[in-house]
Amino acid sequence: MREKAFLLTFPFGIGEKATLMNFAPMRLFICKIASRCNLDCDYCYVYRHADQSWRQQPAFMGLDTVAQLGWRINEHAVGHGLTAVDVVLHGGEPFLADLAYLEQVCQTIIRNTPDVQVRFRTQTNGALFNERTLAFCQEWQMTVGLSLDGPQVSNDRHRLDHKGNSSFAAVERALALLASPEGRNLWSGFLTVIDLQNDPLEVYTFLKAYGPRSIEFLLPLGHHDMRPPGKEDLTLTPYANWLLEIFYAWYDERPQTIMIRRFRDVIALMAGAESSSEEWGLQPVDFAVVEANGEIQAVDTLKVTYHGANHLGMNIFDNSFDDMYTSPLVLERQQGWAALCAACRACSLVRVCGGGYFPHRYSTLGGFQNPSVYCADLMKLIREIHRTVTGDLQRLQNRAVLEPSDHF
Amino acid sequence: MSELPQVVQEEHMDALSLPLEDLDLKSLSELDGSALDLIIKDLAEDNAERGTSRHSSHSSYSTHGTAVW
Repeated sequence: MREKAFLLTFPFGIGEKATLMNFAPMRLFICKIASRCNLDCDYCYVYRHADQSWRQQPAFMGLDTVAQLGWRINEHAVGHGLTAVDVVLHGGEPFLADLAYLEQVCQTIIRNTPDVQVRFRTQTNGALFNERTLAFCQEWQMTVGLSLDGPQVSNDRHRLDHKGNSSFAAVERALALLASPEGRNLWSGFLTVIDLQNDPLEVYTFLKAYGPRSIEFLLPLGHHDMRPPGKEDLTLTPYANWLLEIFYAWYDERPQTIMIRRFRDVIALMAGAESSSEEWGLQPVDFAVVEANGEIQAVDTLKVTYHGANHLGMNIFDNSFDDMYTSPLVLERQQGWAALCAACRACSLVRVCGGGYFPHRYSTLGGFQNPSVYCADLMKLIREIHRTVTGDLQRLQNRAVLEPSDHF
Repeated sequence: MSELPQVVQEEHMDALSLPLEDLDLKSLSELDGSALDLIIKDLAEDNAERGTSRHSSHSSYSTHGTAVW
């Protein structure tokens, strides 16, 4: 079955001519099955920033809500001709929930999605991950992303529990399970937030030793009104410098088996392919976030901007996922280049950086119509990766001219 | 934020492309085991997945910035 382009008549304003637009279907559903967390990381976008709506959420998503969620996912998939979707058990910390409940969540979703293949994923802090959790993930073929910022001294800078104690030892136990032969096929990799105080190569070497399939180094969430550490002067590039140290090491290693997603996406976009992440490129956003009470929301990291920033005023009981396409906040992220500020539209790097990650663009004055607070870092990173890779390709092509291939 | 547009303008690049498809087999074999080889294979896999329409894109990844696959 071929996917259908979704056409919707959208009135841009009263009295204006309605326009037909193409919208990307939602393929990924971030399900906030737990709205609380056992850790209290000081940079967390759910609990430690402007939006505090988690306080009004039930601790766990009710099974009636889960059933409705499944039904809505199926409705959306059928409407858009999707044969498979990804469902992420997310939080908070999803494994705060009892495994018997999580079993029911998965069963309920499967029961209510008869027309589409559902692939389960989860993102965990690992502190509650044990043999039983791993067995549960194996049963559902649920891939697991693990959040860890590096060795203990790095991880303890931010990822503490509610009493201020380190979470490292508990996460290390999870890591041993995920890196074992039984866990390895489910373990998708590390999610690592950058802290400039950490030595980049020390962090990379530590993570690499576990043989993850991938590592995603995340820029700390921030924006123009809440500058990230080290970005008091926006022309400085401390994050590019930090990442490039890892890039050079990673790029030269052979055999290379670890995908560093940030570098992969830059190179993919330069090669004319697609980004794997909403953080890069101009492709439309293709996921929805569903809160524990059934609210449909825009990307949850918007919570760092202002209270209610990700709220669409929709829920899965009254609204379909197609209704999201009537929200200006969602439409803005469907329109790619056209929705960016003038400076970004004029920039020749825009098809790679995509204007930067949506929350990073925010300011009270300009809303999301700004370049990213990390603009200078993104530029340096893109240019340097481009220089390195083109140099390599040029060298290969020159050699091919001098020594014609005997394959032809 | 007045400094940003100036930075943007100063950093323009003439070209930003990587002609990976132009590589011949010999060149490709020289990349064996490299980071670039890993990415090329990943992109090929993504293309193949898209071709089957089983899942139209990002078969190995979540596009959500806080989940990694």
